[in-house]
Amino acid sequence: MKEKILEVDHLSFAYDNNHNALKDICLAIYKQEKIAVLGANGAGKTTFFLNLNGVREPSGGEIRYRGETVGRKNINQLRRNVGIVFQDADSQIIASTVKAEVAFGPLNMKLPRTEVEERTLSAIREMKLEDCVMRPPHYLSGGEKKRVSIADILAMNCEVMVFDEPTASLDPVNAEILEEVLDKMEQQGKTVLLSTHDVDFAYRFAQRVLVFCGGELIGDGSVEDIFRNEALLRKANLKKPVLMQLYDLLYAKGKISEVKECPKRISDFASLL
Amino acid sequence: MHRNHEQITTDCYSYLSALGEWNTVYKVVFSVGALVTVIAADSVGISAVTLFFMMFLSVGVGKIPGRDYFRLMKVPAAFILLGGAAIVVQFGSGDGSLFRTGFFWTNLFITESSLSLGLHVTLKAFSAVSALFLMTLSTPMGEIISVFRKIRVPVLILELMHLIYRYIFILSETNQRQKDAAGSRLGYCDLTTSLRTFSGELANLLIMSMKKAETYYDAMEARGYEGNALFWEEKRPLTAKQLLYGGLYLAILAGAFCLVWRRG
Amino acid sequence: MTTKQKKLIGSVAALSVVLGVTPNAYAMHIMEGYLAPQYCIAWGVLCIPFLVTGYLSINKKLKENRKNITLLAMAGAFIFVISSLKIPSVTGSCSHMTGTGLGAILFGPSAVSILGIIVLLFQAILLAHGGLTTLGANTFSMAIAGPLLSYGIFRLCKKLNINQYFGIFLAAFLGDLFTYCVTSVQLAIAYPSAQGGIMASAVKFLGVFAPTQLPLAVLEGILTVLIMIALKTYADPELKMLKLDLGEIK
Repeated sequence: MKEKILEVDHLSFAYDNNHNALKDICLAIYKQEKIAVLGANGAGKTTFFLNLNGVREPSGGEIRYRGETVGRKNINQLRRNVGIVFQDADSQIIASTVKAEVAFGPLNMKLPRTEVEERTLSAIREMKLEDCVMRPPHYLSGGEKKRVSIADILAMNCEVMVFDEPTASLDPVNAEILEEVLDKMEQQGKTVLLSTHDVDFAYRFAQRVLVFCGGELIGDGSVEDIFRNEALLRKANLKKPVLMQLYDLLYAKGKISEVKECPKRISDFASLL
Repeated sequence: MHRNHEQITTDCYSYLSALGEWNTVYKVVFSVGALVTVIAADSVGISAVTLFFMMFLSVGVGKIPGRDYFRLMKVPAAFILLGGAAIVVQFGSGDGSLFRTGFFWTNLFITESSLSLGLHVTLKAFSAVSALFLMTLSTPMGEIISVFRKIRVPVLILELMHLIYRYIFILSETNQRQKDAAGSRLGYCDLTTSLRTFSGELANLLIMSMKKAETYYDAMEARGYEGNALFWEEKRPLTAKQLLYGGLYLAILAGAFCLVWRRG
Repeated sequence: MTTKQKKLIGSVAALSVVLGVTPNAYAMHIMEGYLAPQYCIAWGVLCIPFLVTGYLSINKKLKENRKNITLLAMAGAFIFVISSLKIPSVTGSCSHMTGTGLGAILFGPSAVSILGIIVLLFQAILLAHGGLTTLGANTFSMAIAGPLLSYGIFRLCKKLNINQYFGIFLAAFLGDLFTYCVTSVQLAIAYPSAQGGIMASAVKFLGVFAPTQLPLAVLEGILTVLIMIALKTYADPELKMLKLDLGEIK
């Protein structure tokens, strides 16, 4: 059994206008899991992430971090260990140079100056931002800003990394850099959650999928199980990944033999043929 | 660099200037010191010397393109011309004036002393601006704020300054997009439409910015912000070369003071 | 478009044409180097009580809810941005709003004093309008005197049940005008005339800046009304949702 990091226990959350953004969510997140969170706009993904980090306080239920209930007292421990990359990089970036921006989190963690600098520079290198170290955010391109916002969280070296729609508005090159970083995180033993509308990307990346719909968690299972559940996909406005569709089609025509698991990458798929 | 923020004129130079490496506190003290010297000395000689030395530092040493420097110097020109005119031209009986003309029930006239005062104030103003430019064209806002922290400005104000600086660019980028989008739909086709579009844009910008403020707070909090924003401050060593320029300026000032003093 | 809006826009259009004659109309920032040290210090000292009041009120707002910090900063950035935008005109001239009246109505005069001094500092640093040594004098006229008057008039008109938009117009217009008068007096005190002293000098400064500042004040008043109309018509529910507790907006 893998180490349990976060436990979400009957979590609900309502904004002031009484619209229930999250209803009775129960799940557990284990070490080194790669989770994709799917669901239509307004399904509650972002609110769920904000609750995971403690920026939003649950209106009902609770979140446990390594067995400990999260409350006012230990909220900073949660924030130190669960990092969120926000969807809109502009909303996240606050400092006036890239270096100061990436150093913001480590400084808040009250680390010594040398370590802050070390972590900052290594995160900047990892996101290939060496050319922008002393540049202000307002002279960066959209892709660069996105990379800065990821470097922000890398520098905090969180145990759980949450990405809110990281692929939205990235060009292919920047998307590739992102996927490299995600792979590296897997090697470092981090737990990654990300929300996306790109089912192909989710299929390639995740082991486990959470499906949100109208503030409820309507699906939680392995990639295979979720994407094979046609009724669920229809309910959540989702589609099967292209590779899966292709596999089904070819299998139905007898052009391909049955395998235990549909391949997740194009190269693996090609070797099936 | 992007051409996004044209109206925010000096900002981009502060990240490009060769003086960016200079020790921040030293640079600010140098610039403000020269500024105070100019207005306190109130002397043509000191103003002229400072104007040339500051131009030398910003353009010659800092490598700010000369054309851009003069373009920036023109920004306050309207104020200088009008303010200068108000000082030069007097009204009243106008005895013993260089030039006099009737104006309704009174006279407008220029005296030698008012003319020289006007020219002197104008020179002093340009000189003071050049001293200010030494700082603003070479020091990014984040570093200027770090100097305010050192002189014990309340943390709340520093935090507001950091955030306002960042949001200025976000809002002006958003407004640029609004303007392009409105323009593409003929929102600026004639004057009346333009004015309606303009005020609509601003109202919308306000609503949008207020809405976003909450998300921005969440993003800060998510990274451990606890009501006291800490910002990274780069350490910039003070070198002999930097001190040399300061010494040179002081020497020139001393020379100018001597000349002024001897002439009485 | 309502007929009221049409009329308003028509008058702004006429004004923009008039303003086209003058090259670049900003609010009157006293320029760097224009004031002798004693005046710089005196005006700065005069600002202190207002700034302390503003600081305390902001501090209180933040104690109530820390999230107000980003709202306040957005308000400050908004004031800066509207003052840096060109008002559309046919002749290609540049005139700019001051935003002090709008700021005072939206966010209240105490918040505006602190936001105002930061905005003025940024204008000096980023735009080369105004200056460091003249910051005290400029703060007094643009972040304290003008907004206070605007806010007072806005509240007074509300109390007297005067048409809301006319009240807003008066507030922004007179606030602008007052700023310009205060600045002229500040300049006059620093540069009194040989004949007639400060009074005569004030008349001169008022005179030379009148062609840019008077139309600008009217323009400011009308644009402020247009912005408030726009805010009200297509964002009323949002304004309520925002709980814009920073000032008075109804």
